[in-house]
Amino acid sequence: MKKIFISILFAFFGLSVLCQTTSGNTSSSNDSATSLLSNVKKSLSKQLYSPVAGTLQSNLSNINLTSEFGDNSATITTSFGIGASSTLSFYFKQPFEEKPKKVELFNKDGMSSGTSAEIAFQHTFWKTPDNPSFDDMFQRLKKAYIEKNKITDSAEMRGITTGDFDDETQAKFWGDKSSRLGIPVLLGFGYSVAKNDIDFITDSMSLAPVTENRTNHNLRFTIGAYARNMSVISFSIVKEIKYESGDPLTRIFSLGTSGLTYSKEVTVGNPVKKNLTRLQFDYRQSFYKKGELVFAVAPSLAFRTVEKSFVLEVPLYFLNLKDDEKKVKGLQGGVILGYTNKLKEKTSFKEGVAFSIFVGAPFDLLGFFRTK
Amino acid sequence: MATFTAKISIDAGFIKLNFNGDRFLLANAGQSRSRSEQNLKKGKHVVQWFVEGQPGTFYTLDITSPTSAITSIKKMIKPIGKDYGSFSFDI
Repeated sequence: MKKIFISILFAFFGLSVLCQTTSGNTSSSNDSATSLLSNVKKSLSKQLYSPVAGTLQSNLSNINLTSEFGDNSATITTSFGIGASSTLSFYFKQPFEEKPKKVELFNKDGMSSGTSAEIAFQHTFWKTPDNPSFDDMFQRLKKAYIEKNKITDSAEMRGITTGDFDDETQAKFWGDKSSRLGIPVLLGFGYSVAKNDIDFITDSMSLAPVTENRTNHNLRFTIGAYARNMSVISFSIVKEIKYESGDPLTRIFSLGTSGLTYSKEVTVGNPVKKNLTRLQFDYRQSFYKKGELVFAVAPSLAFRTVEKSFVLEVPLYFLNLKDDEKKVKGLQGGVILGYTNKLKEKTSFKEGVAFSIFVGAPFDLLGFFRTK
Repeated sequence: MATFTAKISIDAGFIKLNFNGDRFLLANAGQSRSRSEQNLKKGKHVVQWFVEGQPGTFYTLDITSPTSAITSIKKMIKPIGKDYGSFSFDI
């Protein structure tokens, strides 16, 4: 607990000191289904930005600077193992523009505008054979292997596994009923809070914009299972309390009585508080070639109960990123196909469909159980 | 009194380490986890590990204490996609 407390303190004060490089790795791009699709659409009109520089690491689990679709942000993530199979993670994110000298997660008023923070808990259940006959069978095979290969070193003996046996013996061992491994099942809970400044005008006659601070909340529960062959299926319920405003427009305002003017992006009308519920199904499948991840697909279907709308996304990952030493760092990009519509008052297919290329978003088979 | 210290990691899949029949550590894709148990009782102790993952990728197991249990392995998961190992040691 002491370690957790110290790291939370680090998180509160730590991020102010990083930020002297340009962008680095990215965190998962899989935000809420709707906002992702909105990002996808947004990216169509933005210049694609590829992360190029390295990642700042610290004694915390991960600190990095991120760029996705031209939106830069600094993130800090720290995770702790709890007991044998649980993980507690903390995640803070602060967007910035250009090269920042300083990124402030918190100020004297609490969380800075734009900061989001999440706490996430994940537990894995995995039933494995506990009957004595299972280990007895292994010990018999191990003894025969040691004798056959004349192994005398005790450390080497300790490291012998079924993978050292020939294919036929392995097939026999794992084909036995008593050797059946259960399906790993994962449970995840997450709570996130995000503070945003919203600039708006109350009506079209407003002479000056109003800036108000609003806090969005998000509570998530996820259950999923590893369905063999590197695929995972999951179901999530997400409760959101968020403030939504209309589409932004750029408006020119007078600067006092000086005769000077300035332009600002604002929305019209007060932000509206919404209580939303989202049900989401995810499926992720990765494909390997010679032990290297070469392709992955992560379709998801989200249904928003209040608005009675749905979002279907099919990200296809096939772009690998290599580091400075030309070492492959895994799948980092590809294309996203998206489609959104309402169950009633349907709009045209053309209006709901989106297609985009994305980069800098690492594929993570279990990403939806981790911080986002 | 002796301490049992273990660390596990896996590239793609799941790895679980049992100590004396109880779940001691579990890690999934991309994770690395470590844990210690202090004040081991005198006598025989049993270590078991189960792996299910992507063939061709790797997992690691490092036991750094007590001396009689020191083990360090990095193994490639075979085409069958599973692996299991166990041993006992005395204090």
